[in-house]
Amino acid sequence: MGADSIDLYSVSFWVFVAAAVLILLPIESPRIRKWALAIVNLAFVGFYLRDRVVYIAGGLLAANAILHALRPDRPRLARVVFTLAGAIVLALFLIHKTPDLYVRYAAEARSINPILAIVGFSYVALRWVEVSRSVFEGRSAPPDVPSTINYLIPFHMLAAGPIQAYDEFATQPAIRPPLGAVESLEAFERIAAGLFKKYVLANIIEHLIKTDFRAGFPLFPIELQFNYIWLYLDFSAYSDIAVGIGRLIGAATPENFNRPYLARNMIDYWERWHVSLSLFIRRNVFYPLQLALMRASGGSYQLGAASLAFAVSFLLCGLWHQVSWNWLAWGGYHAAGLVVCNAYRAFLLKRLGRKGLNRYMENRWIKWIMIVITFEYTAISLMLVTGKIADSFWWRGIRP
Amino acid sequence: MIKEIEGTPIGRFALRAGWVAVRLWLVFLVGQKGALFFYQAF
Repeated sequence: MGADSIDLYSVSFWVFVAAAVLILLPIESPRIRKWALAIVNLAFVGFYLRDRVVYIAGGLLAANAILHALRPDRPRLARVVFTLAGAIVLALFLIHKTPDLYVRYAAEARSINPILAIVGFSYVALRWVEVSRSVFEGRSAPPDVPSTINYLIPFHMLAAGPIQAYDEFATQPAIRPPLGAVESLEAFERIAAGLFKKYVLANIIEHLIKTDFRAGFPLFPIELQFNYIWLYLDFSAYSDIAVGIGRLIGAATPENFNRPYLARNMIDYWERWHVSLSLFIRRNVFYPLQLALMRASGGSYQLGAASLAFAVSFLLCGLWHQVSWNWLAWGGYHAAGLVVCNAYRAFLLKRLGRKGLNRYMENRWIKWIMIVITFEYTAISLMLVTGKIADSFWWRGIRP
Repeated sequence: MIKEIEGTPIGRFALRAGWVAVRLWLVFLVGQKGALFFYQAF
């Protein structure tokens, strides 16, 4: 391999997957299996990074040592370590996601980025938040070295997630039931579906319709629809492939998409699109913030607390995708959709009552109109971050 | 005929496996001939 990005169409990738399955399949001892998977995960990164894999291995050992320092019986030390480790991860994340910033202030940091890119550091950072919070808050014991590797850099989830909750990872069975013919077929079906979506359907849309909004009118409204469909096909393909490989190697891999084009409002949309990210946001930003705001206000501003929590959560979500004005605007746009949706639901509940609201939700006409509106609202949000239109906003000239 | 094949577990399995093979073949075809292959073919 030795490439600078993970190519799912390469023969070497699939040879690696086949080798991983053949190595892991016959192992019955949980301990050996855990170590074998850790070696497979490190070997995968090593294929791309060659000798630079030592930085990843060193980082993972350091991460494991930090997790063991988060002991609940020494709360002051744990708090300091937790904060320092969070700051280091944030700094690496900013280097990874803010190319302008580090090129301007520390050009030598450029060499770090290919290493961070191969492991998909934006996802690793979120997994770090999950595991460090879980250990710091005493929900889980610190993981051992192989578990730290297997949780932070699972090779089949490096390309584009999903993000597994640490509590779910920690409680999954060490050895899964033997892989039968039907289970194997289901895994191959997911992989085939993913490859077909990405390399046939998304590829055709990309070549026939997508111009990154350069074509202008009259293609624009058509491209707007297909840009969203293309993104869904391309992105969900990665998740299908990850879920399929996960089944073959016996590593639980969360589902990430549930027909998001059928979402009837923005809250529903975020329960269907990039589900593992939206669950992460809910667990780690939205709920803690909403709870804190409710406590601070004595519980009297429920709608206001939820709205502020939505706003902060999705502005951060935008910045997680990329530290840029466009992605901040995208986050604000989605937050606005969520706030309006939540307020409208509260308004309908007050006006129609529970039974009336249920009748409203069951109305087929309203449902399909809302599906179309939600589809268009999300399709428009992609203009903020894709192609020519994204480049034309006035704020593009403002540097951080 | 498809319904008869679908009626048996082995038939269902074979149909699903066949559909997997067809999709992978199409992925391979597009990789070899380019994404616009279907468009040009018609």
